[in-house]
Amino acid sequence: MTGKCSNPECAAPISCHEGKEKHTECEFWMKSNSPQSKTKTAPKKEKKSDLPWTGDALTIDELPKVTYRNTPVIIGIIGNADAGKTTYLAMLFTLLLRGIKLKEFDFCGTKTINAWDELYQKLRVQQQGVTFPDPTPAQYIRLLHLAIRNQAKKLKDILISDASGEVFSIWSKNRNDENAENARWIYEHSNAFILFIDCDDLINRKALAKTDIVDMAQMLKHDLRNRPVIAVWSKSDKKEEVHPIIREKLQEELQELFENYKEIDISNFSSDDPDVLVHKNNITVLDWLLSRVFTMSKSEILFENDSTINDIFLNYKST
Amino acid sequence: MGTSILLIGKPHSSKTVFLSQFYSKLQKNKSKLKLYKSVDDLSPISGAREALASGEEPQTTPSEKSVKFYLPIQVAEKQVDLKCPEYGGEQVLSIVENRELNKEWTASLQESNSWILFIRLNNVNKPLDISDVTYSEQHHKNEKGPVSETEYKISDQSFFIELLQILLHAKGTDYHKVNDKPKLTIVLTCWDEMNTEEKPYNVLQSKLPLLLNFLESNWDENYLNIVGLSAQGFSLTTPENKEKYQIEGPEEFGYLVLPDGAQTNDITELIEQALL
Repeated sequence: MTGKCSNPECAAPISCHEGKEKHTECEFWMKSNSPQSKTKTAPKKEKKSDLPWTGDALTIDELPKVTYRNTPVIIGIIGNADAGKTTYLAMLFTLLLRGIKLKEFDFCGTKTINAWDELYQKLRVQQQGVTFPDPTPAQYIRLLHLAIRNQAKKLKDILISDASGEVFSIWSKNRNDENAENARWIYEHSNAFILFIDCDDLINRKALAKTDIVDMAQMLKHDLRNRPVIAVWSKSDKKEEVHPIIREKLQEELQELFENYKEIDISNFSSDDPDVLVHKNNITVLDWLLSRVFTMSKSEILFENDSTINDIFLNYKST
Repeated sequence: MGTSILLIGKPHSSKTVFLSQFYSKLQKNKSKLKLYKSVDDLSPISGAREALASGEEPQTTPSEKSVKFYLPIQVAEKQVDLKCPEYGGEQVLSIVENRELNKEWTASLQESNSWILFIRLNNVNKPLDISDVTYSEQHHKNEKGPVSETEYKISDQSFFIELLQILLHAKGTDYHKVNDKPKLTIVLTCWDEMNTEEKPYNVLQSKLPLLLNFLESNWDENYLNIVGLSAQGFSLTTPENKEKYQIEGPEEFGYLVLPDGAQTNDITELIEQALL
């Protein structure tokens, strides 16, 4: 059963914040998982369809649906809970729908359009304002797909991971923790990373928040090889409120850690049209990573060699 | 086996008015084209023909009505069937919602190399999303945002993209290649409602940009056509307009906007546009 605790600090169902042995017995858990809330997540009608894709996000087991045609580029999104990882994905599709294009590539399809569209609808302006996506459940790992074509009209599959922040927090403390499976999978299989820095968290928890990010960055570094990392300062409309010392120190420390690296500010709130933080930078994140991934692949043959393809099939099919 | 052109569109995308007007033009010799035989069953368009002849807006086809319809057209030496595998359009919705194609659809898609997709842009929603600057302003002022339905429904661009992905899959075309696809003609219907001087391509680009990206990256430019259509010509809500229809006859009206922006009064030219 998936679900989340009403206490945003709590990692249940992985472990209960209140120390209860069974998280289902905790009052905070029950609050947000009472039977009536089930109507919201009522299972869809059992549909029989002959199509090889469902339009929903892909799980690891389902990756061969996409990987049969070429080795995909996997982009791992890494960051603490509530740092804006899922919202980033929602914003990305929102911008594509508005006609904003990737620099070097054209959109040519997706096997996960229902998942993208649902995220997009979250950012639609409703009467009560915008409801941001719910926190991603802890056991959850899903991949969103984009098929893109380069200028030579060659097709590339991109998969972007969406996993809960809790598993990355656990992973950043102990990468072998049994509850950090999803983080390990993303770390092992991604070709490039987006590291989220939550400006809000830096404003509120200051140095504590900074330490968390640096811990995560160090874990990201341990077997990074030359995979590119882009650090994304999310909620950057508030970046000015982050204490300058914290800001500068964090910037320095990250720069020392990574080589194939860039940082960028993003936000969901425009103050201008077009707005650099919203309309341009959200797309630039992907542009930069893709340009790095594809320059690398020419020299280092990271992709498109047979052993990787076989490996992906073997790995994905079991679990 | 003759050539066939498939006409695809959601409910209320103006298929009925188009077919009814198309038929009237052929019948009254207002077209270069002719029927190569008489139509077996005119009942799907008979209501619309009567309504138009008396200057009334046709009733919309009940969308649950699953009717096949086709017009057998002689184009120069060629016999071409303009086919509507299912007339109401409900099955088109179901292809995306239930992810199923029935045998009829699969067979039609496989034998046809010319697809016409009707899109009525005035029915397409353009809800505000958070990336609209206006939103932030409203948000800060704490004003009420625009009303939108709460029930989840796939957005229009995603709908059309998924529809085409499914149709291509049924056709068995290879995603990898750009050329190897049926010719697709996108028809922006009820053109008169939009009050625009722009070319159809530009209108599609401003209203459904991601769909256009999808089309352009998957279809070779020679296989992709974007036109505008006003099968009725104008709305029949005013007495003057009604009278024009009653006196001159519906076949005198309606126009097609070609890709270069030029207008032609012969809506049957759509067939030449759609053929390879």
